[in-house]
Amino acid sequence: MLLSMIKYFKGYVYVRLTGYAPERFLNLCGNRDILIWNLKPCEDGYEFCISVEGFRELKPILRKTRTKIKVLKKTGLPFGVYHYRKRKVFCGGLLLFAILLYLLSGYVWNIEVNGNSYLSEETILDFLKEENAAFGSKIRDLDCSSLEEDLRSRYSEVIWTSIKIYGTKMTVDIQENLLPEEEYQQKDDTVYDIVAAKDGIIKEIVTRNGTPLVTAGAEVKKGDTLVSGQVEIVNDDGEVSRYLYHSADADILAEVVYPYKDEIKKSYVDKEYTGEEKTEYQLRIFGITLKNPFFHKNEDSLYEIVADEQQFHFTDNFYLPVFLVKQTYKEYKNIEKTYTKEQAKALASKNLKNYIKDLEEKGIQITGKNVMIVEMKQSYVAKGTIQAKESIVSHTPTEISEITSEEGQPTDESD
Amino acid sequence: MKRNSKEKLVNSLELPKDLMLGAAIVTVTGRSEVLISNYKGILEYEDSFIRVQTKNCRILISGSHLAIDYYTNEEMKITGFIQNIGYEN
Repeated sequence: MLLSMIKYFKGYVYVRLTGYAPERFLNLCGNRDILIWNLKPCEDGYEFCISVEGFRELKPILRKTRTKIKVLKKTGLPFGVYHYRKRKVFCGGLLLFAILLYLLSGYVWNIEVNGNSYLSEETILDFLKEENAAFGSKIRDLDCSSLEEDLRSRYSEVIWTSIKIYGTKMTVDIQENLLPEEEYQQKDDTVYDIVAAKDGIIKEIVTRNGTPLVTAGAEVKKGDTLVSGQVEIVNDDGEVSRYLYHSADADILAEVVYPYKDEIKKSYVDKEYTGEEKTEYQLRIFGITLKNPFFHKNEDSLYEIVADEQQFHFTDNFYLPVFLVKQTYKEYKNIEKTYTKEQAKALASKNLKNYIKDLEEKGIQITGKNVMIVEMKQSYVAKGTIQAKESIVSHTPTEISEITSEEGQPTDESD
Repeated sequence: MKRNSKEKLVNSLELPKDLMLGAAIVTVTGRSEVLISNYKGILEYEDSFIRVQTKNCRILISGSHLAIDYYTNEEMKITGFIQNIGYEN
């Protein structure tokens, strides 16, 4: 492999040797250290490969052995260069390309964020921008470990980060603290009561910590205390000797009524596609958009534009700041339409279904619904209530009463 | 006799024979490759046989599709289908 590369760069010729004493010619070549390879006999002589340098020394040998040589094929870089010697712009372009490629490879062209669920990708990209580590920043100036530290100290949710640069692609791996916020609220010393988050009727209550103040069947208003964090300690006389404070913890399910109202206008505007479609290709280099000058669209008509962007890259990690943008223009017309009663009904029930689905996705159990559709002048109105069973637990700090545990401390060894 | 005594000397001193006696070295790899070193030159070369001159004798290699991969002052490599390697005086 290496040998053939050297041969290629030095250049060699494939020749045919004919004449009086070709064997002698070969031996003389051997004696003068001229390398010959791929030697094959042919009808009236031999064919072989010989280096360009060797070929230049052949003249005296040819005369001595009375043989003739004919070049059949020239191979190698020197011949290629000779062939393209007048194409200076091409060479310049090649050089420019190499230089550009080298220069551009020193910048970050792509950022990948993995493992984020609370923090959006935009947040992290904004953070990188503030740290001057966004798209197009020089890789040499970046310090990944200090970036990691900054990211961790800026966002408390982030418990582990790793920022790596492969080629021109930056990969930000994040591990977030997935414990819900309540859990770490309880780590501080404040004691919490459970209060009602919504109006409703208590259906089930299971208390683990604290004093329950309501029982099943009770009607509560939003903000009512359901379970207190204050636990009374009663002495032998039935008097409250002191209070213990402990954050309330309970599962409370209540029946909650959601009012529902949905209005569907009789007349609506619908898009009707004319079927006309135009596609425009654009090139975006360093944020500068090059548009196709031959592309025209009707200024008067309405278009729905679908843009599809593709970034150029070599391999997976080497992204260039060049985008190909494909824009598809779909022509449409606005047409006024009116719903018939059936259509309106179908739409209303679809909306209601979606609303219930949303509620169920939040963990709310739907127990009943009562929705009516009424036709008005301009619209159809779906109105009613939805009964649901859900947890109405929310936390507020407990008020600390005056008798604290220290004051009411029974004296030891009083017996 | 002279040659014999030289041979004996080389043998007893354990000197390399290719240098001292000009003996050719023929390395055969499988049936398709022969490497000859320490030779003087090619006498005849055709598709079916190659005759190589060494200091003491001639080596005849016959077969078919014989080709010389490379040919230098020190050694040559012959490839092809080899049927016979013989020595002639």
